[in-house]
Amino acid sequence: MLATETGPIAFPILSALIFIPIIGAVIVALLPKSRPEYPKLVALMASVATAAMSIWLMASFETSEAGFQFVSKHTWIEAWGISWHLGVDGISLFLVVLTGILFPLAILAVDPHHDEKPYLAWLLMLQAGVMGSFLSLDLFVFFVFFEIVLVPMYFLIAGWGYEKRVYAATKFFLYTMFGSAFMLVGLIATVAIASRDIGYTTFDLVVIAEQANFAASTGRWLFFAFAIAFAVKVPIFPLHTWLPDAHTQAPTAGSVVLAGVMLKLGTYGLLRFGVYLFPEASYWSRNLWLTLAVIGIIYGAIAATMQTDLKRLVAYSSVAHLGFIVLGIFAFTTQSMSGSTIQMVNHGVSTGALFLFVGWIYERRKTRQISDLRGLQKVAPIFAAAFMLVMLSSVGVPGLNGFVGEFLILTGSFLTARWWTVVAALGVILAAVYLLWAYQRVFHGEPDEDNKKFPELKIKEGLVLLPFLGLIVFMGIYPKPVLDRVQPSIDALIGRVEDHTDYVQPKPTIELVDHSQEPANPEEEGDG
Amino acid sequence: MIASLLAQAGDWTSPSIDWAALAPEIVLAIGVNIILLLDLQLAETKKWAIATITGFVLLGSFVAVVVLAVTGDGARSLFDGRYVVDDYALILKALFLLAAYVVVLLSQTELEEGGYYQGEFYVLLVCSVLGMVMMASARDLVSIFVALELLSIPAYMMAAWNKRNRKSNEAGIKYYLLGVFASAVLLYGMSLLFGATGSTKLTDIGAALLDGDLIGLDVVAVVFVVCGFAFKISAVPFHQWAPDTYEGAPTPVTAFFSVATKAAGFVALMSVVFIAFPGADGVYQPLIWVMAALTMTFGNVLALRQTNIVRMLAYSSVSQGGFILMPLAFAGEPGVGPAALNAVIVYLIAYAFMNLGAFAVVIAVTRKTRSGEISSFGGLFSYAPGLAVAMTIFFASLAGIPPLAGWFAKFNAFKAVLDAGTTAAYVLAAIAAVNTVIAAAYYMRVLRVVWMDEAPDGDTSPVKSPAPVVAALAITVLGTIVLGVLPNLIARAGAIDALTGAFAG
Amino acid sequence: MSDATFLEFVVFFSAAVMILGGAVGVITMKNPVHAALGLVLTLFGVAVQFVAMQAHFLAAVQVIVYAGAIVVLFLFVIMLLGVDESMDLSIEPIPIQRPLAAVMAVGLVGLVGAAIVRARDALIIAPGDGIATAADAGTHDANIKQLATNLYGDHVFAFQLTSVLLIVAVAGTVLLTRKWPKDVADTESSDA
Repeated sequence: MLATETGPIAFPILSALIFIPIIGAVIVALLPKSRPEYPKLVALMASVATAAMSIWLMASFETSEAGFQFVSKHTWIEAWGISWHLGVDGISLFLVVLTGILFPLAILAVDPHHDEKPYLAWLLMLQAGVMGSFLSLDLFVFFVFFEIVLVPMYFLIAGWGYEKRVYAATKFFLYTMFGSAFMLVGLIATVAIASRDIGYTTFDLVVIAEQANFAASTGRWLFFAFAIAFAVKVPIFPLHTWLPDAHTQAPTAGSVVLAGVMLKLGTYGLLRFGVYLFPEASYWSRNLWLTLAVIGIIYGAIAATMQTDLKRLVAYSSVAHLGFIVLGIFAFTTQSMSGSTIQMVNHGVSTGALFLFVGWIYERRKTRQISDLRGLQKVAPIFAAAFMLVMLSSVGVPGLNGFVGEFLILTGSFLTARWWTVVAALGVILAAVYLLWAYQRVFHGEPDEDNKKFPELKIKEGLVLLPFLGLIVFMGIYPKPVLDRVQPSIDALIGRVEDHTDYVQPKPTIELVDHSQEPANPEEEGDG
Repeated sequence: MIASLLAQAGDWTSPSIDWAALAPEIVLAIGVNIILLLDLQLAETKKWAIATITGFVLLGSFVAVVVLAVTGDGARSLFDGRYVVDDYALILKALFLLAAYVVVLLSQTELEEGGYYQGEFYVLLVCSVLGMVMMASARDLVSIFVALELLSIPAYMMAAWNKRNRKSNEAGIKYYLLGVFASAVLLYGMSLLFGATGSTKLTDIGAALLDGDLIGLDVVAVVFVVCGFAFKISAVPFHQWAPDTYEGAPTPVTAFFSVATKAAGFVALMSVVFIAFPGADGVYQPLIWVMAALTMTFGNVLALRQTNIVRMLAYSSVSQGGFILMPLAFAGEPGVGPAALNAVIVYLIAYAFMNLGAFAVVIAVTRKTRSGEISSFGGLFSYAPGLAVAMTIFFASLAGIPPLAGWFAKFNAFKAVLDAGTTAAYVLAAIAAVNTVIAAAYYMRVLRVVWMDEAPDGDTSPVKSPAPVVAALAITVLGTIVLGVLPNLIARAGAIDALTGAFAG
Repeated sequence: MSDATFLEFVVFFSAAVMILGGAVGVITMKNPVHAALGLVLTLFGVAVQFVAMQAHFLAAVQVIVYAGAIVVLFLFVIMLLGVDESMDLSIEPIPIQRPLAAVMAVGLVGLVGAAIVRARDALIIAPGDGIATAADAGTHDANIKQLATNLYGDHVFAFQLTSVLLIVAVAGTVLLTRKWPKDVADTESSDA
């Protein structure tokens, strides 16, 4: 009923975002083996259609609205109050868009070595699962999608990955399954306890969040049941050990998707099902999360510095970057949380692109060892320049997107979590160290015999990169459109935390972009 | 002499019988005789027709069940409430008949190619199903016991069907000895129960146990009865027969044991727990709690170590039994009863589809590979993608991955347990949660072999599955997916959280 | 103590000794024929107890079916298989099995005994409460009649379905005795 009132269109766009990839996957799976040219075409069509619709979604999103938009709600299992309840707000909007854009690019960027058909079908299933997780507003539906995501990812890693792929895939699967098992218990317990307050059984996230009144100790137990699942997914130190293996062994498209959107399931979950559902418990336990986040930042950076494998290095850098996002979430200020939300997208873009580069390097040289690569800048200058840009975005150089997120997180967190922020700032420096050092070792110097034949960036690869580079520059220079859409939802979320605890958000020292009267940088605006 | 007998017979009135309510049982009983007689008449070359006729008998009984379900308004109670045909009974009867039908489909080619005695096999199968169908309605210790024996005794013989095979003989003997032992324990418990309460009718026993304090004799009786059924559902520590019997018996028979026989044990346990033992919840709840926790943990841990797929499925079925048992550990908590009943039934239905399906795939593949080792499933995806996908669906469902039937069933079971809201419930739910992860590990290991490994002997010729096996696969795949996507179907198939005579107190 | 109750006590006591003595004999006798005879003793003791409780029909059935048919069948099988020699049972496949079984048995006896003793007061049933006895019904076959009413009344369906069990028994016998088709038997035995 809400759908027709708040959304500008009656078309169930959110359901379409989930079902188009599923339909695409089914068609791909059913295509006959005798026509090998079709699967990729169908997969591209499905994913591009999804991408187009997600962009349309972003365009017609009401900027000032804090609540859920495009809501669609249909009863699914009446007896338990389970409904197909989808909706999008400022927090999930850009993750949905990112999911939409990233998949066609990943499909286009790299071809699998074998069995293209099931590969593409699994990839599309994965997209549907991730979309569903970001869009669902029903605990039951969310859990279904959260679990569905596991299966395609397992098969993608185990089927099309590198040497130790089966080990990595199994590790990934069991870690995540371990977390979800606790979430399942917590989820049902939440519903069971909430139904006593509400008076009827419902799995509706919004109804539970608004009407249920958990006692402090109950809420904390439930929160931790959820949080374990998300902490594995993020991953938060010390539950991160599956990540380097999974990333390194996954096929390139798998790594891109894993880093780009799947890790965000964890941080998104912490926001939506942690802070939103259990504001008291998440505020109460903030120090724990802040500490773990900071440990993750420093540990990830140091571990990345010591890697000899380029892909593993990028994987560990993810641990560090995700630590910043967790830091921002549990600092509970408008700036830090908006920064975290933006940083989720930024990390998806820049780390996704980094994994593409690593994949291309591997395709060309059949090695990912940093020591085997040298002087690539001389033989492939455009490749090197593009890599440089993406890497700088990951480091957080002003003017590129990584800076906006990290800056907001650090300034926002400084108000409420001073000492953690000080330590975390060290992580920014370390990021510069390991990434620039890696760049120096791989691209500088004189190329030896093997590296002399390193091919330059192909046109197809360049086309795939363009959206990434465009986003990196645009969001770095002009993040206002993103912030405008994110901030109302974040404010509402912090308002919820203030309602349920004695927390009062301190006054920000630095005004956010949309508080100022003029655009941030008028001269550079045109470049975006 | 005769005159005096006739004079005495004057005060005798025969019980009025609702024949329509007994239609499914009558169809099966007549079917047994038809199959037996036809088997004598048919020439050796035409024995295949027996399987078809058996299928029709089962379907005929199924139709009777459906007609009863559609036309019946409320429960039909026969013999002074000792035999009740309500929604609960009808749904379970339908489940037994459907499972048996799938087993017939699976056994057809197996029996024809093995040259086993066909007629007798189907006679025994239908007799066993008759016992199960009876069990669903039995509300009296006597009829429960007769039903239990009727379903078990043919099963002992079916386990030892492959007479020349030592393992099959071992399977039969083990199943028989432990089954008889369990019957003795159960009977002892029942006789104590009768002695303590003065009735064999479940509702009377329920009233007697609710009325006043439990005495020591009641406690011993309840423990014995629950333990007697625990053998049938292969709950730890009464599970030792299961792996050997499952491995030795012909695979379709194993499928039958792991689904139908186990479900019948659960049905009996449910009837007793919900109708007769509400006053003894302090006794059976801790007992079932411990059994459920042990069953799922032991089953899973042992399944992890198996290299034979049938043995692995045997242990997995033990551990699934623990999950089915879990809600019953809180059946007596206020308000949880209906949810627990519903959870068990839904799990039984979902489990029937996915486990029969898993066995169907194993049967289809081993027809070609002639090996039960998990490693022999390598490369299945490359030469039989259809079977590989079906296997993925079943194993993913068994592991509890949405949106498949097994996941919904697990979810339902967790929900019933957590509805109880006690510390014991949370602890058991946490144990179960850890167990789902262990279970996922060995299910995924099989799938990994199926999808990633090469065929062990390099033989990648396609698998030709006979039509009945394909039909069985189609039924089970459909059931597994539909129940997962549209769980409303089970919820709407009748108010199965109502059990006549239960929840009164 | 009146004569009637004293007599009852004597009958009960001697029958109980018969039952327990027979049961111990079944387990301890080395010769299977002796063990089977021990079983007869036990079953007779139970029959005597039935008589003492006025359940004449059950007593008769007990003697006819158990002592008459089943034990004779046992003896028949023992003779047929030629295992009338005493067997060495001192070898144990699993060492701790027997002590464990003994502990379990003692525990179980203690449990059931304690349960019965504690429930004694609650279980006093007035005469004629359960089974109709010949004395209070006035006819010598009231017991049988009540049994028949029960069997053909409320339990008629279960009773009828036991006949299916007979079919199962017939089919099972056929299965056990029938020879395998030649060709199948050959291939199977070569597999094994």
